[in-house]
Amino acid sequence: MPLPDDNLVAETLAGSQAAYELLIGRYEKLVFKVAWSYAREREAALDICQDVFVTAYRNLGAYRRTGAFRSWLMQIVHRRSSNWLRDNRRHHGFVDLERLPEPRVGPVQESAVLADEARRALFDRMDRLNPRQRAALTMRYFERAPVSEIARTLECSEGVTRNLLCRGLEQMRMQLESSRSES
Amino acid sequence: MKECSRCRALIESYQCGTIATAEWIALERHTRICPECRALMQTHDQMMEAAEAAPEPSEEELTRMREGVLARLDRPRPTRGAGAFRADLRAFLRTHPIAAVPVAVLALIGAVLLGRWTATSSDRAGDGLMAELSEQAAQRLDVNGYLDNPLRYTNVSIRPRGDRLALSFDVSRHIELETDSKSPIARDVILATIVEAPLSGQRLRAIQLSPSIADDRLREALVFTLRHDPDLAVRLEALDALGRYPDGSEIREAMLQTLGNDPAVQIRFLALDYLGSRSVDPRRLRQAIDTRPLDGDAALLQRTFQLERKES
Repeated sequence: MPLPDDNLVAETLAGSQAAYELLIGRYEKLVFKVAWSYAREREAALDICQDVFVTAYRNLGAYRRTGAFRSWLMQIVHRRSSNWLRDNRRHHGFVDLERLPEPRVGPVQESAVLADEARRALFDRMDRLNPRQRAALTMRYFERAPVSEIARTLECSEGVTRNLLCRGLEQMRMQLESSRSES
Repeated sequence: MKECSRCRALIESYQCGTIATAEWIALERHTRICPECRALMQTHDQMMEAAEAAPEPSEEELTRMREGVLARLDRPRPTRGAGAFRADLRAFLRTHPIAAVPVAVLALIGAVLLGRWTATSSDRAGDGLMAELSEQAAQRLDVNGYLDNPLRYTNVSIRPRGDRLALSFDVSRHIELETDSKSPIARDVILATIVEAPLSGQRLRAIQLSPSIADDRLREALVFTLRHDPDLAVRLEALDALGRYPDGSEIREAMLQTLGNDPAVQIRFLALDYLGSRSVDPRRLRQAIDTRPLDGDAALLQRTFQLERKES
């Protein structure tokens, strides 16, 4: 049975870097996935990951060892990723589906290209949500976190979390529809 | 429209992974005929697909990232490239020794200006807070002083740096004030408490104290609470508070949704009474009750017939 996170945190605070490496190993893929959902660039996502684990290490003393290390770490991930998005938003233009070049590929690749573009449009709309809605949706879809955990990470009630999720999705639907009707 | 609001609740359950099979069937049936709800479900599916398609990091990338983290853990915090600037300056002076004089003069002027700027900036907002913190800390002589402190330290980290300490913390201020019950700050605090307070007792108390601010924002907050609050007592209080508002479509929709979906039979009865007293068409009441099978459906239908008979 693997050691609980809190034991590894205690070991890290006592000076064991190996314990912290184990913690990194447990969460690196998840942290990458969330960071990528904001940055959509592998290198940027890896940079965010690095920053997150360094920040977490430096603030480990502030974690109260309540068995919710994952939620605590995820708070850092979402904060760092949101900051990254804010600082780099100018590079993330919205996808104008009208101006896309005609794909010169066969039908199979063509559908793959279109799916890719649809995903980009979806992500662009996600960037327009307010940070809490975005974080809630990312946790639900990318981390597959249950509502209780999202509520713990966002420090709000489960009712508020359900509302954030539903309204976030609704806003994305409206944005996607209005962009389709404009084009 | 009513079907849609019911469907949104089901989509919410679906999104949260708590939907029952019967509800799923109802949702499927509705989305076949309603383009808006179908689009919402499609957005959900697209999100699922996008998350599935998110790339995985390679083992090589992860190793590089891990090594980067461990290297940074061994180093003190970087100082925004100051070291690189100093190295460049040294190299420049080595190749252009004549430039040393103007550089020294410029450095002197810069130091004087910087000194003046930092002296005045201590009065600015951030440093003002720092000054207040230091003043409070100097005044505090015993433990009671800490308990009465209006400034709270949270998210604290303390690390040794040679013979000094590196402190990192958030400061929040506790404010106590007496204000008019209709003031914007009172309204804001009450609304935030109704919607976001983690303890049900706090949310309940905020609703009880809210009648003085019967406006549209409060009505929205109460409708939200009626629909989403996990605590029955809070939902009951919200329903009661909504009864004080003039009849409107938003409240009726919320009551119909409560009648059809709320797991507690008490609150469904109260919603039925509210709707019955506002002469809502009994067929709509029966449809709402039939939304999904719940405890107390038979009693509610019987009560609907009683209301109908009374009306006629």
